[in-house]
Amino acid sequence: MNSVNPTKQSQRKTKMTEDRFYVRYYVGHKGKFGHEFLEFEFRPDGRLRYANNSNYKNDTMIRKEVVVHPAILEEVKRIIQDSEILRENDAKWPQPDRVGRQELEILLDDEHISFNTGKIGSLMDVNNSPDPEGLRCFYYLVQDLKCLVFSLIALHFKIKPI
Amino acid sequence: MDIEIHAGEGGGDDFEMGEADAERSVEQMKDKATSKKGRGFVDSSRSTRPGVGPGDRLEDGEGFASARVQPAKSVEGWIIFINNLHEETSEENIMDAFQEYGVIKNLHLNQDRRTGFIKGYALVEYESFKEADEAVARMHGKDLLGSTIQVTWAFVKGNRRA
Repeated sequence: MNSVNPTKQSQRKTKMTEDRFYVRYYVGHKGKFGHEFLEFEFRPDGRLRYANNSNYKNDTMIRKEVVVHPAILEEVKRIIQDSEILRENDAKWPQPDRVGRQELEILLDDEHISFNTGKIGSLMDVNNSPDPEGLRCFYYLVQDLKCLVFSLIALHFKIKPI
Repeated sequence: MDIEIHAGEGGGDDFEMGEADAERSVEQMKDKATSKKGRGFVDSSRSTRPGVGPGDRLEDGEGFASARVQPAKSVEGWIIFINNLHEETSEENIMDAFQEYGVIKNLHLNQDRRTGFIKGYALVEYESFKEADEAVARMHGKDLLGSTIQVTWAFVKGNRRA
């Protein structure tokens, strides 16, 4: 990605955006086990909300909420800024379909994006799409965010996400 | 795309508010954004399904009050957040530096999915408050592999829940 010290640059930028920050990610589908989905959001006051509904085997919806330290919100901002997702556009991404849908909503200072697309099985899907660069950006950002959220939820609640 | 921009009314640094207010403040923040992008703004599917978003009740507490951030206990211990790690930091490096304050019950050192290097943060679990507290106090601002690391609590008490 950025070779010239992206960390420092984004830290400087986030100083001015302390208040207006919101992130939400959703992935899900409706199938023979009903509506199965995973969704999480980071709110400006530090609340991390997490919901995971899988009707397979047990039909309980897991909903968890915890307040994270401001340093973690800053890290989420840094990950988002370094990904440069705000420069992308979902206009040419595959539409959500019966297989599933993903949604990514980010509010960062004056910029607000609300992207959606279908499920991405592998990088092959990304490379064969009309906007591989944008979709690749989305693909990796989502993995990085999920990775952080799963660690936070797993460590705090001792449950295994998915 | 037709997006109506409303003039929001402040909010954002006032955390003494109820659930509905908290929801409204995020909506107001979104309204202030001057740049909006994505198919999500013209897609209404979100309003018809459950999730973590508006309308849900996930035991809404309050977020952190920036002036007094108090650590919150996780199910089996106390989690600290380490940031600004050098990209080549290994689990051994973290163990060496942090087991001095207590037995490390869990360590998450997540990777950047694109580069394979670490993302730059780590989460460490100690069994006792004392161990974690000492690690935060002694290691914050210290040098690890040439990088000045930031060490904080991972989870904090909500404003009203204390």
